[in-house]
Order: sequence, then structure tokens, then C-alpha cells
Amino acid sequence: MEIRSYLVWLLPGGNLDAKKIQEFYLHALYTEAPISNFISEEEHFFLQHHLSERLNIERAARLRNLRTVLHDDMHLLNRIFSRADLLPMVQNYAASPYFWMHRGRSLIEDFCLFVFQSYNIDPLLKLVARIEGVHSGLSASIVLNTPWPEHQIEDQGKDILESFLTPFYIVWDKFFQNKNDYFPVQERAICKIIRSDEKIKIKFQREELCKQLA
Amino acid sequence: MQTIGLGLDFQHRNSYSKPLFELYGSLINRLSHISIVGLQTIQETKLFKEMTKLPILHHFTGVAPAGVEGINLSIVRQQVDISKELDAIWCLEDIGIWNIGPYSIPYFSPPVLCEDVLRVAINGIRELQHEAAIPFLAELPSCSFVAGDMSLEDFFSTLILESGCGMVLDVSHVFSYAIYSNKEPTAVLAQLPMEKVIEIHVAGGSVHPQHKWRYRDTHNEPILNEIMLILSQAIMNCPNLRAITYEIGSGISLDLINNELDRLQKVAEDSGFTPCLTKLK
Repeated sequence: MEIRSYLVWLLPGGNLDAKKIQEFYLHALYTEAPISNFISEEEHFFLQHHLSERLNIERAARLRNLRTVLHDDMHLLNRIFSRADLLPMVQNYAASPYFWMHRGRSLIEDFCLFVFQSYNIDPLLKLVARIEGVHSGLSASIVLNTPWPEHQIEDQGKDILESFLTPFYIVWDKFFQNKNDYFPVQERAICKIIRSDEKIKIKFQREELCKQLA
Repeated sequence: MQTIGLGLDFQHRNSYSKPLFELYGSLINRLSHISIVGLQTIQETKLFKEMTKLPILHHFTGVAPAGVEGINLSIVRQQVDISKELDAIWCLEDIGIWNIGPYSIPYFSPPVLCEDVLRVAINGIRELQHEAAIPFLAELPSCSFVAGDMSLEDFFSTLILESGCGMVLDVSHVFSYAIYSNKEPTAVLAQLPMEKVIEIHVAGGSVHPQHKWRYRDTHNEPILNEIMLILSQAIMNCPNLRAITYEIGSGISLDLINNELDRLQKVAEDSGFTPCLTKLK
């Protein structure tokens, strides 16, 4: 960063690409690393016209705020992770290129995709993150398109069903009563997340039962 | 006479100290008007409209004439339909960046203060004015961080004068910029087009205990005395002022809201303010 700053020369505004200037600015508000190693005129302008020590403080505050908003809007993961637990995960998310790829139907789903695909955590927590993500994504959008590669999504008239196969399933009451020592039921199941009348329902259906019914 | 209106966020309807409709019921006799932000569907709008007979101001979100991608016309059209359903007197939005890609930003940021972004913002407001059936007012943004080679006063004065729109002066945002840039709030006010101010916003917040240049615009803390002083000065210097809106945030107690309405009502009365909540021409 020091070398990059050293290269900056005084550049007046008035003939630059406004979109690029604001992209650099927005990127810097959440991610410390620069967008690329190439420094454009727009990035020179931005680097020349802000106070970098204040930017670091602003970025830290914005990441704490992002963490709080995500935590408050969650339905499942916030019963497992405290706000303090979530902060390093959100910091890693914002530092990653995925933060700027916008793969989810909502910001929470985008974060959950990152946790599911990039984090080395217990498979049980990964499953909860996956369900949290779909819960949020289906709440935000009725378009029949899911960012999760292995999921099926279908229009069922007044309902939208998104489903995927899981090697184990969760009995929610027991899980939330005893989060630290809970063991999921080791039986393959189909996780069904249903949007119905703007409400979201989550069900596990044992795969064996599905085969019998078929 | 009630001189202060209340600024509510429909997305926080379940995170105030009471549910939105109950909170409104507790305060209705104390208010001159309601300003509402965060309505996303006509169904939500009808629900909200049934709640109140007070004059309504419609605070947009995500229209973003100064956003990274420029103005979002699909959101403009959605918000314009909501304004019609509300029978709103005017509409407004803080000038800034409201989105990260397709997602709403948790807290909006001011635009980069430079000529190139200013041109985009002016064109965006002109497009918005073409779509909207009611006047659009541009709100001065909160500034906990600033980038660019223009002052906020120059940026905003040019924006208002060249786009021809009215202005919302948020006195808490004036304070945020003044402490960030180490200026006297009165000097900031003196450089703004005060004759264009139609509405004033005020809200609670705090200065960061370590970083004295950083104002936290929380909307759920008491209003700082310094901001009350800016409010008083602003009222006396805005000849076309029609409304003062007290904006509240999630988690704020009913006691604090009542206390702040008392303080604001007194400042407004002492400054000789009378609201005028009829449609603008």
C-alpha cells in the first residue's frame, strides 16, 4: 500500500469516470486490499483526496455495522453465533473477492454462501448456514433461480420449494436446547425450504421415506 | 399547535420499543406530520396509509441519483407509485451511495465530493424529477468519512441550484460534516442555499469517544445540545421552511422520543416556526 501511495500524483477532478471513482471509494469502505495492482487515474484521484487513517477507522466501523445488521436479520445462525463470534467471519467475507461478486439473492445469502463454501467449520454449522442462506434468499426473491449449485427449485403454484439432499438432518428443538453437544440424526434426508404466503417453512424429509412414497 | 413530525422506517416496524402502529398511536397527538421510509410494496403502503390521517412525506431509499451506477430508475418508478398511494406531499432522499451491487448498504455513505460525481448526481435528479409527480427534495448526507476535492457545501449548493430541486437540511448531518472537516457549523450553514430548504431533519447520535471527528448517526440516542443550537440557527435562516422531522431508529424508548419531542417543540416555537404541510407547486 505504501508503494502504491508513493506513486500518486496530484490529479484534478473534472474529466474522470465518476462510476470508477465511486467504485474505488465503495470498495475501500469495506475491503482494505486494492481492487487490482493497476492504478488508474480514478484510483489516483481517490487516493489523493481522502485521509487514509480515517478510512481505516471508518472501514472497521462499517464492518461492525454490517455484522450487526446481518446478525439481527438472521433466523438460525444468530442462535449459534454471538455478534462477537460473527465479526471475524464478516471481516473475512469483506476481505474476500466473494463480497464483490454478489452471488446471493440477498446479502445474508451471499454471506452464507461464503461461510458454506470457504469456511472450515463443523458440517452441522455448514448445514445451518446453507439453510439460513436459502431462508433469506427465498424471502428476498421469487425468481426461480438459486445460487446453490446442488439445489432444486420449483414453482408449486402459491408456494416456491427449494430442496437439497443432506447426509444428516437436524431436530431443531433439541439442537437449540443443547447446541454445544448436539449430534444430528445420521440419516440421509431431503431438506425442503418452502416460501408460502411470504412465510418460510423448513422441513427435513427422510430419504428412505421419500423413496417409499415414490 | 404541533410543530414537529416523526420520521419512521417501515423496515424497523418490529424493532422500535413498541410495534409501529402502537408507537404511532402513542404519539399521534404530538405530531404535525409523518415521514416514512422503507416502504417496498403497495400492500405495505396501503397498510401504512390506513394508520394515519396526518400529512405524509415520502422518504425514498435506494433511488440514489449519486449512486455508483447512477440513478436506479426501476426503484424510482416503484417509489413514485408508492408516493401516489400515500398521497405524499413531497418526496426526498439523502444524496449518497445506497447499494453494494444489488444489496442495500447497511448504512449509506456520502458520494465522492468531486465534479465528475456531481454531474452524475445532477443528471440523476433531473431524471427523477421527470418521473415523479410530486417535488423531490435532496437531503444533505451524513458524513462520518469524506473523499473528494470539493467541500460538501460547494457540492450541495451546485447540486441544488443546477437541478432546481428543493433541499432537506439534516442538522445532525451538518454537525457530522462540521466536526469531520473541523469547521464551525455556522460556517457550513452560511455556505448552503438556505432559501431552498423546505424540510429540516434532526436525530439523536453521538461523537466517537476516541475519534472526535466521527459522528455516529444512530437515531436512538439523545439529540446533542450542539445540534439543537444548529437547529435553532437553521430555522431562523430558512425562509421557506415548511416541516421539521425528528427521525428515530430501532430500539429507541418511548420516553426518549417524548422527551426529544418536548425539546424540539420548544426550539421550534422559540424560533417562530410554523409548519406548512400543503402540496408544493
